[in-house]
Amino acid sequence: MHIVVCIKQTPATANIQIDPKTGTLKREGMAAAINPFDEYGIEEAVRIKERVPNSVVSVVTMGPPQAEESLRDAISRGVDQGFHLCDRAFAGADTYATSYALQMGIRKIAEFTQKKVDLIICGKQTNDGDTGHVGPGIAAWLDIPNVAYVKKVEEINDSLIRVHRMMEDGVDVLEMPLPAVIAVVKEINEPRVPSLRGKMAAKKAVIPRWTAEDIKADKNKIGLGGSPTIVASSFNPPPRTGGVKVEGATPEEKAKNLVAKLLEMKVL
Amino acid sequence: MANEIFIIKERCTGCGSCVKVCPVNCISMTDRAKEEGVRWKKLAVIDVNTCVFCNACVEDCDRLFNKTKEKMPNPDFFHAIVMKKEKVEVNIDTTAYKGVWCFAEQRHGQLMPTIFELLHVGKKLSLDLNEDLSAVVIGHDVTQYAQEIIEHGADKVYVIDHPIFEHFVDEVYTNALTDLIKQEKPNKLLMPASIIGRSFSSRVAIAAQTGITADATELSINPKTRMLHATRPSFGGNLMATILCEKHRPEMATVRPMSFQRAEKQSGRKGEVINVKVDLSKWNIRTKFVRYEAEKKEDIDITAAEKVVSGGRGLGKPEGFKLIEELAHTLGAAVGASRPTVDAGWIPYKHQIGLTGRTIRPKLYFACGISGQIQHLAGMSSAEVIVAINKDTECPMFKLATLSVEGDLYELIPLIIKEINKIKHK
Repeated sequence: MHIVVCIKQTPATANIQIDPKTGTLKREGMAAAINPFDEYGIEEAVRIKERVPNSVVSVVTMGPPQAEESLRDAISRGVDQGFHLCDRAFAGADTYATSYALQMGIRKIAEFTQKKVDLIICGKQTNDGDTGHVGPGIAAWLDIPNVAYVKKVEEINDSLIRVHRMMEDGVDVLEMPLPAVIAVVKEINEPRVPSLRGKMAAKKAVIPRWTAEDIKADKNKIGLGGSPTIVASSFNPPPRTGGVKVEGATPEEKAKNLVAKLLEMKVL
Repeated sequence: MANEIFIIKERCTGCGSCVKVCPVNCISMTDRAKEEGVRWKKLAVIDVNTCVFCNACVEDCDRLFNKTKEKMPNPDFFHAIVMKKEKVEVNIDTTAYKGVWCFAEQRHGQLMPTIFELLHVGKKLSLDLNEDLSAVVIGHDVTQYAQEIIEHGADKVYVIDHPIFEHFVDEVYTNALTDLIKQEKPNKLLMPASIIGRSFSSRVAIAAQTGITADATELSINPKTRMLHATRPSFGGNLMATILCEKHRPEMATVRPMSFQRAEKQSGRKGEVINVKVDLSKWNIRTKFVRYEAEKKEDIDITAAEKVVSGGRGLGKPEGFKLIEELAHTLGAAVGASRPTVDAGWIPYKHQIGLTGRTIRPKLYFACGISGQIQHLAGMSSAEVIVAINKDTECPMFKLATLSVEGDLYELIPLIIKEINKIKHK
């Protein structure tokens, strides 16, 4: 089985900081890392590989030259090979153009490795864009089935996958023939840390870097120009003004004053 | 040709203003080399690989130029950023698309209240456009909901009713909605940013070859262009971005639940119900729905809850959640949690609020023993009223909270429960 994991390099979650003076997002000096949700995708792919004999895991990203680090990071966690879609022409892509480019990259991976792709795994969303649109988008372009918000892979073999989808009010169990796309949530597994052997492999790995032309992408469907949506403006929302401290000499008084205030605000 | 953006070095003052407006943090300031002989010490550098060509920095630098021009003739600085955007020809007659559509989600035959929120904001958009407001409901035995949707403001309701729609399957729902879009050509399409909405809206957008904005919290129509301005938070609400879909139709957006109030009911309001015929033979459906496993009834869905009581590391032990549950029960609230308590196994993941958990926007949020790390705030900072209970008065949550109470939560919460019960019994 050939599994492809799609990842993105995003500002590291741990580094997102708020400026204490202005109460707004600090934009300077945010280090990059694999989008945290994608780590669960990588781990699930590696686990499937361990379950299903003769499996290979590929990882693909679209991004600037420095995004190659994230592919090496993925290899250190057990992925076999990485592929980098890297071209200025991809820049400024929205979810439509991103999912288009990624699926063209996935087609190219199948051709390059001479192994058809059976399963595509994405994280449920990125921590910078927060859309969750790229996984289902890839499935739409490839015209294959997909399930998002997957919290468990119950069964997988060479021809089908049975998954549990996390809903607001319970769990849906669905079955799809392969090839298919899944987008996974954090609950699905506990990602492993890179092994020493993995780190060695990551160091040595030769990662093909493909341009828009290499993946035979339609110029009208990639990057900023190929994106139906554009960011018209962005701004920091006004910070919340400091609140009121509920006073009281005893805990009883504090509780009483708090409930009185909540009543006043009509939120009880 | 790829997009280009560059700085005219001679005109850059190194003021750093553009760094602040860039939404993707791709501009940095560097020291100028001395031999250049320019009076300015710093120089802006743009990382073109990260740039999304939004034009914000160009506009900002031009604004500074125009401001300076009021004071001196022809300044030789500012107006320093040049952008050349690649243009792709799109030939879509946008005027052929009419009406505002709202997707009415149903789960297991129950209509979800998100439709009333969509109808509330959709009505405003439809009045600004002077076009019809319609709703689309997909399910099995859902025709009964059409009148209720009309009474909440819809002029038309498209009902797509068939046993195949009983459960949500991405492919099936995508086919149904896309076929209807292609046939009826709506101008705008709003969907709830629920799990179902977020799952298949993107598939629909690509199948219908149009653009979509995820998780909008503000929506408006530009009276000149008649375009939808969809504003959405990123980084957990610390940065807002307004998104446009200029050339493709319908302009789609998913709307974060609880961002808008519900439309009011006008009993007896009249509208048109259109039963849409479905031709399944054309669809290639591969996914099989196996079964649904319901969650315990007493659990309130956290993303739809108006009130949420959350516990954090300050609880000190897993049993602390018993107290949280008790307060939640008294308030009729859902139970939330911070990441450390979930990671420690004190409470299941579905309760986790924050960057890697759920994003919520309740009317009332109780943070008990939660210090307020940015990752947690990302999931709840847009709550209307925040109450923080903590021993540490210096914690970030106290700075954000509407009301903060200093003290031992094991002492305070039982007293708060007692006070609330007193009012209830009055």
